[in-house]
Amino acid sequence: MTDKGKLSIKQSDICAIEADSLFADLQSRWDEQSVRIDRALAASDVAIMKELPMKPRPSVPLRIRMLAVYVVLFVVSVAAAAYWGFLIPSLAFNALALVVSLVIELIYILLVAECLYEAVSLIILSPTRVGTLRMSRHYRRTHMQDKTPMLQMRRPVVACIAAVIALTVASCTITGIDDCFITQNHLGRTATIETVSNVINQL
Amino acid sequence: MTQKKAEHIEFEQLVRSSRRILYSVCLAFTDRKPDSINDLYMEIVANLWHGWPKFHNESSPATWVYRIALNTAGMELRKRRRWGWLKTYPMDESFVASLAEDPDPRIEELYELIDLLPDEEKKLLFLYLDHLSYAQIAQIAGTSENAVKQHIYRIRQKLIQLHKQEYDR
Repeated sequence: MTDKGKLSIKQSDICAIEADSLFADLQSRWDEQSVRIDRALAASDVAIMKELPMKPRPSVPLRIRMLAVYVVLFVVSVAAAAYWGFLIPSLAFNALALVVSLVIELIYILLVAECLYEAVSLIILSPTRVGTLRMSRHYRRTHMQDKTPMLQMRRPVVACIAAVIALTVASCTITGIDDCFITQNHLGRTATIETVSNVINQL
Repeated sequence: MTQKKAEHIEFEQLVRSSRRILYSVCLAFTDRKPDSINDLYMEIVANLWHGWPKFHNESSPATWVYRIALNTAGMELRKRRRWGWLKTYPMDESFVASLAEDPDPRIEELYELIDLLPDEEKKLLFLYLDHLSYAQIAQIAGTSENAVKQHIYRIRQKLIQLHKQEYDR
């Protein structure tokens, strides 16, 4: 109200009233829905609780165990590479080959392990992640009439194929590098032995 | 009774008492299709189970459930946007069927309107509509009460605009 007694409504007041009425409407709809949910839950109490088959949590999550395997494999591969490195006299080439080999081996191990992990978790343990409360595919199929779409069904197969391809490519690459490595090593050692023999002969 | 069994029973009680929250979140943060609802429901329950040992009653169980459920819903939305094809696990439809039997167009309108909001605002509105106090919302959202009040005010303004855009066409 103004001092002259006339009604004065600002745009902001209209917006506020509009917001209040809209919010009141939304709130009432939300409350209605909450009541409906409560009613639906009360009616399907037993059915819902069937959805909670309790799987014991593993003491160490599978992902951590997989990581431990990665680390062990990596250490082994580094040790192997270092062993070869010590036997090689031609240092520049072999150092390069060593680094390349290590990087490829690391990528290969991670890639293959990840693919296999995904495949195993999809096929055996659960549809997505492992180590938590989850329904297995088998449980769904037998108890829930699971109608998993084809794409979903293909995921483990795709993961397995990816693992095999990764394994093959990585093995070929490593074999190639290792061959090169061994040849160089052999030649290097021969050359060194010959040089040493020459020196001894001269003496 | 072994400790594990007791833990399971306690967890089951928590899920049982929080089912309304869980399904409200599932309905608000999915496309309301049975597959999506059940998928998100399982994801939330899985995350609750995963986080259960770390819950030491710092907040009330309901607040904790809200926080986990909303975070999971947010993550699921992001995942869906990135890999929409990955998340399709049809499941038991007993609960959703009972809601879907008699769909209320007014409720659908409500969800459609809420869907137009960005994730964070959607979460805040969800909590506000669920009659949580500003203090509780702040605790769940990890922010201050004043910030929540400001956000809610802005959401209200935004909703008017969205409502006009959607229904005055």
